Amino acid sequence: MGLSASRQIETTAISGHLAFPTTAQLHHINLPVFRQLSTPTAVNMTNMKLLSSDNVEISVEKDVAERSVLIKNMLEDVGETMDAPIPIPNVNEAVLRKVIEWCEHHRNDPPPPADDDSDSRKKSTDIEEWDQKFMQVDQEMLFEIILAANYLDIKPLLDVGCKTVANMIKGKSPEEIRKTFNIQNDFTPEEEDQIRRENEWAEE
Amino acid sequence: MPCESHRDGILSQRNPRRISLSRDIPLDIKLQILESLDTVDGLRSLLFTCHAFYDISQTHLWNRIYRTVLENDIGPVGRTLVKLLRFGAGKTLEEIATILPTKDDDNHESAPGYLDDLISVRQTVRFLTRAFLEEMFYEEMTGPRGCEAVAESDIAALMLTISPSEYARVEKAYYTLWTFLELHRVDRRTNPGLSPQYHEAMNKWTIWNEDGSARFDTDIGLLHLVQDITGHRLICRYRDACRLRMKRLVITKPQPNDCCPDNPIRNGLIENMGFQEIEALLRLSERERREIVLGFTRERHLRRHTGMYGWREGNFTEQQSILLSWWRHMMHSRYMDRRRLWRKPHGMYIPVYPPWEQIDPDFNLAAIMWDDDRLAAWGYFKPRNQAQDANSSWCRG
Repeated sequence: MGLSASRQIETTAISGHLAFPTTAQLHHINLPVFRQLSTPTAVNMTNMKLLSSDNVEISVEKDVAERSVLIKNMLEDVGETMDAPIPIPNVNEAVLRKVIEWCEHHRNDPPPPADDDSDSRKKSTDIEEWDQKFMQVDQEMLFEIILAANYLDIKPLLDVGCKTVANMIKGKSPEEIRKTFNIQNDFTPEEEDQIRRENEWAEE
Repeated sequence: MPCESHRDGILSQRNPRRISLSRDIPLDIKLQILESLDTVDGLRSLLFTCHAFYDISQTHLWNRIYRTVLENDIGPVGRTLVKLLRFGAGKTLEEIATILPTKDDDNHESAPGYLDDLISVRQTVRFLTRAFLEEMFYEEMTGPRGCEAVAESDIAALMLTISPSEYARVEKAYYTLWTFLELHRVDRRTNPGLSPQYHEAMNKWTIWNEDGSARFDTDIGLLHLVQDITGHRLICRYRDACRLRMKRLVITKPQPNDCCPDNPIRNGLIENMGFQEIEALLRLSERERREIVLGFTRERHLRRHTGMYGWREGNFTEQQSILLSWWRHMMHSRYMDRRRLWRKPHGMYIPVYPPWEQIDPDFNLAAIMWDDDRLAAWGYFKPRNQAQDANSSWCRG
């Protein structure tokens, strides 16, 4: 944040070194942020169809489907006159329905910021409560959602999926991670010794 | 990195084998998972699972991943601390007194030395956190219910039980205290030349959001405890001498021969040295440590008697003053009411007193960093509802 661009804040010097916000300013903080419940007036409610890899047609509102950059680009390419279902060959019905459920919930979210400002970067535990519940699925489904989000180019959903996996890793030893995620230990004993010796950077 | 199964559409074909994180997930997703980890410990564990992850650490992609995870690990307050340290580094006193941070001071991710600074700051905080938690196990084991002596091996075993959240709480407290300290040290190096506008600008750059909210939340009770234990128990006690015996007699109160018995001097030591020098001090032998601390004490007394420094016994140090101010600022917060910090049921929290001045003898602030399940196992209780007591005769003024 550049100081030149910052709004002037009245502060009350209490300690002489820390200037605290005034009471009036505190009225602006700690207020709950409500999700926008009403749809924007300009929402395009046109329905369209997606065709899953197992040949199931799923009807979805266009603005929901356009959370996927892949679909959005496809629609732009064909001039938005597409009546036939759009094939999604890499995603089966169950996964596609889950992805659509996420897109419907997040249909009014603002686009993600272009630059990844370090101060606004969230830790992996910072997953919205709704998203946490959404991701409470078996591991196969979790990975399929991640792969589908990657394929359909839905970055926020991919972020949530990766953060969920990262949280599952938290506090686990390498062996526990292998068991959890079906990872084959392909190090030889000699390699393991060498790696541990070479990586004391992380051993405090 | 090839990922044939993904290109062939594993999603549609429902491969009968389980999806493997190492085998079936494309490289770009693996990278994103690595960057989503919020601890260096987690990063290390994942790297050590297999070649698919370890080999990434041998590529040009590694620095970005390591930097991102370090930033996640130290959190918003740790990142603020690093940018504050980097801002002050290499500047003359005159520059510090006159130059305000610019946008370039926020965009330092690819600047030379940034990764080293992250590593260095985290290492110090990690060291102090471990030392602090070790002391607090002694505190708990030798409290009112405990025995008088604790075997070192018992403490070593307990150290293995520390959860990531317990580490994180204490680390955050150290990062926060360090940030306050650096803000204060910038002022002291240039005293008395700084204008109030400079203080305000620096505070806004580091602590306050544009809407007046704090950039990071603070557990004021834990900040005070960490400050107190670091100054008193870590610096000024003779742990090495005690360790010569297999069992350590734990002294619960400052002793007459304590090298720096009064709080202002102890905290003054932290303020003058800074946390990285405190770390270096704690790594010294007991004899070397004692000489340094006694030298500091003598210098302080000399300054007091010659009028070089306006020191008064029992006076608040700046750090303590800052904590008290912060507590007043967030006094509406009643988070302590939900904590399991009472040794007996039906305890009482008095919100008009700071956490470190609570009068209920069964309230133990020294337990504040532990997880709830650990405290439950140790026999701690939550307080009774305080709603109707906030304005009762217990209140001061």
